[in-house]
This record gives sequence, C-alpha cells and structure tokens, in this order.
Amino acid sequence: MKFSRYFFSFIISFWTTGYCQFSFSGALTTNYGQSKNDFNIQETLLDINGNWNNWTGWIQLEHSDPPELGRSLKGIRKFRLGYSSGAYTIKLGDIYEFWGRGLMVNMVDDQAIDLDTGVRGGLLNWANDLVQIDLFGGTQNIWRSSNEVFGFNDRVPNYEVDHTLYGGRIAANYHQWHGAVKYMQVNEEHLLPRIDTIEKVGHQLIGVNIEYYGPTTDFGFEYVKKDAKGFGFYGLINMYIGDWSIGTSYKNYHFADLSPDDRWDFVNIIGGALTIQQMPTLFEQHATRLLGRITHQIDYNDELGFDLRLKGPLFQNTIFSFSYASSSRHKEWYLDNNWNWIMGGSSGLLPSTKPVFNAFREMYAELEGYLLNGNLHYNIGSGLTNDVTDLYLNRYTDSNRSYSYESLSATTLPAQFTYTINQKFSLELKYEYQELKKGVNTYSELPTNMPPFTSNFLKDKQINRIFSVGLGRSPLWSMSLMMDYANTEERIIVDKVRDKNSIEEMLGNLWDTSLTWANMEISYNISSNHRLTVMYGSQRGGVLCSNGVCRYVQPFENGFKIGLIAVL
Amino acid sequence: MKKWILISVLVLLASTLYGQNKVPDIKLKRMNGKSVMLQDFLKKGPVLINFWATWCAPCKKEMVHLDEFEKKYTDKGLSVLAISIDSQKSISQVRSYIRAKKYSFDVFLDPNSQVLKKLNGNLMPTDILIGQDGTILWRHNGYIPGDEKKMEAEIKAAVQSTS
Repeated sequence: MKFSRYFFSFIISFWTTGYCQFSFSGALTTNYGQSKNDFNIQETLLDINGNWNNWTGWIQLEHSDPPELGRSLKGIRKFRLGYSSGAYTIKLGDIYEFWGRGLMVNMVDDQAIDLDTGVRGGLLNWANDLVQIDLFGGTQNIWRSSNEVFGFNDRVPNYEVDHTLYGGRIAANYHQWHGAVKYMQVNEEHLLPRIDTIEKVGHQLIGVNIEYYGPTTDFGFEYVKKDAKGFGFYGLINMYIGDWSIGTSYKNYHFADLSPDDRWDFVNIIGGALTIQQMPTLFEQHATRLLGRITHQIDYNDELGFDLRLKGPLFQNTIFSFSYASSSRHKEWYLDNNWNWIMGGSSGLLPSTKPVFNAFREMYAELEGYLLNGNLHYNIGSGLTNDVTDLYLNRYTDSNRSYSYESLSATTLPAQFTYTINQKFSLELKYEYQELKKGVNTYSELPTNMPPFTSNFLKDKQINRIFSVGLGRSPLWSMSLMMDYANTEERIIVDKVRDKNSIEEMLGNLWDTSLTWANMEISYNISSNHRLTVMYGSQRGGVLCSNGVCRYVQPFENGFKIGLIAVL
Repeated sequence: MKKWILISVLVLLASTLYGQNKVPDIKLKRMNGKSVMLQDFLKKGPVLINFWATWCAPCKKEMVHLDEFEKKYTDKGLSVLAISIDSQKSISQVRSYIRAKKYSFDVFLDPNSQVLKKLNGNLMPTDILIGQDGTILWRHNGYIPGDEKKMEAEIKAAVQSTS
C-alpha cells in the first residue's frame, strides 16, 4: 500500500507539473443500492487515464463499502505507467496480458464476478512486423470464496493465494501464419488452513501456439505443459463457404485428477490449473438470463470436449446460428470397498456421454434478423441443456452396480423483439421460458428404496418465465419493466419469506407473486458523457457466470439502485 | 484516502479545463494476430471506434448502421473500427458473425478489455468519434434505435471539418 501511495504521488506530481501539455481523461462509475434483505451496495470507481508524448498513465481509485461482489476497498485499486518508443514498450504497475488463446496467460479483471487475474509488476515488449518479444514479472493475489475456510460469505472472498510470476514469449508473424513459444515460472504461497501452514510450491509452464488465418479457412492450436504431468490443449478450425461458416473446437485440459469430493476444493488441494490460465470454455456464452443461470461450470483441471458451430444468412436480413457442445471428465471415478474414491477407466480422446464422467451437453439454435422494412428486429433462440454437476456414488460390487449423481436438464426458449416506432421511439419486448429439472438421480441394478429421481425443487420441474417490456426515446432515455417468475423454488431456500415490493403487490391481483421478482428501471442520458440509471424493485438471485467462473449472487429484495456513469 | 480522491478530482478538473482530450496512439490487434496503430487510420481522417461483443444484443442492432456509415463516408476519410471485447470464450465466433453479416469495416480484438479501459469505456456498446488530430469529438454509451441519427450528424460534422 505504501508503494502504491508513493507511486500515486509520483504520477500526480509528474502530471501536475505540466498538465496543460498532457491529455487527460477519466471515467467515474458509481453504484448505490439499498434493499430489504440487506444486500446493500455502495461502490465508486474512478479511472484516470493520461498520456504525454510517449508516456501513458492509468490510476483506478475505488471507494466501496460494500461493493456488489468482492472485498471493500477505500484507496488505489490499480495503477500503471507506460512508455512506448519505436519497437519498445515498457509497462510498470498493474498489467493485463492475453497470450494465444489464454491457456497459459490470460489476465482479466472481471468485476461482475469479482475475478482479477492481473499481475502487479513490469512488462517489456519489443515488436516489429515479424517478431514480438515479451518479458514480464510481478506478483498476483487471488482472492476467492470457500467454505473450507472460516468466514465463508458468497459475496466477500475469504481466502487468498499469493503468486510471484515471471515469464516470456517470442511470437512471429509470417504472411497468414502466427506462432509463439512461451515460458512462465510461478511461485505459489498457498495457505493450508487445516494444518495452518503456508506451502510454497513452484510451477513451470511451457507452451506453444500456431495459428493460420486464410481467406476461406482459419485454424490453430495451443498446447501448454505444466510441471511434470499437467497439460492443456486447444484446437480450432473454421471454414468459410460464401457467407456461411462452419467450425469446430476441441479442448483437452488435464492439470489434475481430483476425486468428486475434492474437485472444487482449491483451498486444500495444490497443483491444479492456475487462476491466470483462463482457457476457452467451448460452450455458448449466453446473453439471456435464464440460460446464463444454468451455464456449465468448467473444470479447468479435468475437462475434455468439443463444439460444433454453424452460422450464416438463411435469407435476406436473417442470420441462423447453431452450436452443439459436449464435454466430460477424462476418467470415471468409483468407490472401492472402503468407500474411497478410485480413478477408473478413461473416456479416450473424446468426451463421454455417461453421467459418471460428469457429462455436459448443450444444443443451441438462434435466428436473428429484421422484418417490416427493417423496423422490427428479432432474436429467437432455443436451447437444450444436460449437465451432470456432481457425482455422489459410483460402485461396482459382485452383486450390484449402482450410482447416484446430481444433474440439471433444461429446455429454454428466449425471444427478443425491438420495434422502431419512429425516429425517436422504440418498443422492446423480451420473453424467456424455461423448463428446468434439477435433482439427484439414482441407479441400482438391485431393488432399492431410493427413487430414481429426487427433484431439488418442491415440484418435479421448475418453470421459469421472464417478461420484460421497455420503451426507448433516442437518444435521451429508456425505461423497462421486468418480471421474473418461477413456479417453485429449491427446497433449501423455499423457507425464506420475501418482502414484496409495490410492483409485485399490484401483480399479486393477477397471480401468486410469492415467486415473482419484478423491477422497473429508467436510464437517462444526461449528456453523451453522463448516464444515470435508477432501478426500483427486486432482482432474483442466482448463478452469474463469466470466463468459465460462476458465482452465486444473492437476490436483491425490494429496494432501489442508482448508478451513474460519467466520462470526464 | 479522501485527500487522494480530492487530488485526483482536481487533476481531472484541471485537465478538463486546460488539457486536451486526445487519445494516445493505441496498438490495435487484428483478428489475424497482426497489430496496427490507431494513428495509421487517423492519417486518413476521422475514426469511429465501436466496442462490441458477439453476446451483446444492442451492439448487433447498432452494427447495421455502422456498416452503412462506413460505406457512405469512407471516401471522405472516415474509418470505422469495430473492436470486439469477446473473451477467450467467444472470440472464435467473431469472424463468422462479421462474414455472415457481410460487414466491411475493420474488426479488431480486445479480449481483456484493455483498449476499452484506456478509452474510458464502461458499457456495451461504446462509440467514440475521434477527429483527425486525435481529439475525442463525441462519444456515446448504449444503443437505442434512433441513436444512429445523432451519430451520423456527428460523423458528418467530423468529415466536413476534415475536408
């Protein structure tokens, strides 16, 4: 923190000595929210960017107590000073680099899910048209939430792992080819809370990637080897036939073999994929709420899969997209006679569709286009999802074969229509429908008292509906009313009594709104640089996913949120 | 901490009053991995930067108009640069979407949003119109049908002041 202050003072004095020669800009983002279930938010971020000749500077200040997700901070969050001259670039401070497809280095700062894999240190880059050399070094503190550590809170991370990293890359471009070789050393300080010891572990990563980018085809692969056993492979090929494209990608991430009980335990298990390795996920990144809530949580330690994609114009002004994704673990895990998990048979080079391999499959098709002389924009989708999220039991005995697992299967239909009434006004309608089955499946060759399927919901399946209607007045304002409705809730959270807001009470005359979350939002563009957003009502909680990482976000009950974005 | 925030705000105010709101010469990465400098486009005339993503519905609605502007004003010096912030999850879909839509503007990748942050972007889509001298002439967050009228008026003014 002291270093940050000195650095900050240096930059401020450096800038202020000759500010009129400098170019400055900044952005302020502030959010305030107050709800009846104490999910209160108070966060402000101030970014200041400056540049002078070959120099650039960036500082991000945060004042949050508490933020929507993450730890409270009142002070300097990020800073960086950069210098570029000819082929050279030097950066000091918080650096964010993305190499290849991210199998080795993918530094992201995603505040929506409180994921920050940035490195505080330095970067030296030399590049011409043919060759690029990068060297970096620094430290990284990864904070995450875990119930393996005291003070678990799904909103505030309670466990930290510190890393010291340095690495380098040599990349080359030749006509339509691009390739790179890279190396990274990571020294990890990992607190093991059960024995109250800090374990110091070193990791070495070596990688290569080659890509070709042609007029009718592009393809490439990236391979990373970590320590003695771990590796990650990603390959893709896209072909373009006229305006149509067909593509497939393949992933094989195998950095650790962890039993179903240890699979998500990043506190007591050391040696798996590093957080800086944010790799391609190979399933659709959904923008709709209901599909977003059931996004597959990728296991970067042990996942094998592929996807198939097709996209092109069906007829004038309409684009058709189709994707199919399949993945699983590499090996089957089963319980021996002592009820210990043992690694069993492999699924080979392709993912298994068997539940004991934690199989995941998703098919998604979408039509996007315009009708009525371009005045009506539509987007209609359909998704089928099957995901085995946990394996509880898998036994082979002389007399019986039995297994039990938790899964979800869903059919989701999202649709969105925007109608341009005239040059200023437009109307937007969104409707999403989902049938979701989630529960524990049990199989046994011998008769058993266990039912074949026990729903996690009070009903056999959950029906979710989201309806939103909005009116926009360009370029000044837009307003929307959103209703998020479920027919049942999960058993573990059904006891919570909700505090209905006045919109839900009004709707209560039409249907039972005990499981309806409704809100109204108004956005106003004060100027082209200032945008104010006010929301009143409730927002349903659920899983929020980004970059393959998912977090549970609490519901926001009967309150208001105010947000201001200002570019200075 | 309050004094640091106060100093920062004062610096910003001073810069707003006396400083020049110019963009730095940013390195942009093309889909084929090659890099190009923003300055190379500014030599030809004004530049409209659009930040978008394949998962952003309003961005897709806006892009139809960006393509129209690119075709209409390119011979007057305008360059439209569409910078995708798709992460490693969806980056492989960028080229197929652009091809399916037959868009002719230049497309770049910013998978960890570093260019977006350098230009103080927060929402998707974000549009920034830059004059030939590197000064930010106009910017806009989000998209509501009809916003393209204001955008075109700003582009017209920018290309006229250049010619």
